[in-house]
Amino acid sequence: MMGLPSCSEVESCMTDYMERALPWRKRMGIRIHLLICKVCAGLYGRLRTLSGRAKDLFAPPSPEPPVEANAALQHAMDLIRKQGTNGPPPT
Amino acid sequence: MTDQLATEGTEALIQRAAAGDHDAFQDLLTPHLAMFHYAVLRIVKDPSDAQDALQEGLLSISMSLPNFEGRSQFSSWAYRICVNAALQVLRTRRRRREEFMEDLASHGEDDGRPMEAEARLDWSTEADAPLHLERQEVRMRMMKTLDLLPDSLRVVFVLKDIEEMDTQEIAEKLDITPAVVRQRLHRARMFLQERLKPVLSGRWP
Repeated sequence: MMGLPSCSEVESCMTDYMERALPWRKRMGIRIHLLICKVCAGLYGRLRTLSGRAKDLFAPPSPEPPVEANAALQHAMDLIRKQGTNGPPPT
Repeated sequence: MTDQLATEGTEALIQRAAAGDHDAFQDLLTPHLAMFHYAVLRIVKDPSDAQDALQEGLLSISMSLPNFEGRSQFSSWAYRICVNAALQVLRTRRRRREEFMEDLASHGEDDGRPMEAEARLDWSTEADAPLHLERQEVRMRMMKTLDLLPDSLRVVFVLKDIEEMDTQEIAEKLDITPAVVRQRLHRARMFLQERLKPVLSGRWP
């Protein structure tokens, strides 16, 4: 009968568990631990939320490109116009 | 139908831009500029570096456009080029830093920026703060929290959880093993979840 992993073991393996990078036996041990440990289950929930909603949580505050982005485009366009055409520079 | 028209419009712009029409090239990029800039900024963090990286990315897009085969959407293809340009800026910055600040070597992969020593945002001490902040302010604070991560951890988190690249691809891009990607990802997620507990627990204004 295998022993269940401790809370610290579960915590250190949480991302490997989420990424399905653990061997089956270890994965099962963590799954059972999460069923009976509210603290680790809470951490697991937060990590899943963080990972699943990162795109939304860290979304840009405004859809408009900032000044720096427009400046980068203008500088790039100036260089491209100097070069004369899109595509690799002539050798 | 609208999507089809938009796609046809994009294809025509791509063809004109690839043939050397600069206005078409600018029109092609403009709708995606904010997204490209934001992706670059999340990786390099510094606004001035982000501008340089974006400019390099846009020039690379221009040079590579005649070779664009249309196997993916233009925006996805161009986006990857900008991300690569940002990673290149980050590598250059890291190399410069290593040359001039040898003492940072003792900090290993964290680029010498000890997380705990940073003036960090401690959400736990003001648990109710998000309830009273406007959404925009919360976003800004979340961005600041992300910025507290050392480069090596932030880049992995951004590529994996925000850009949704797979672990193998990130490992290849950063020249590290998939196990190291997962290790850094774990440290980044643990750091962020600790500081963003109120938001991640559903207390989002």
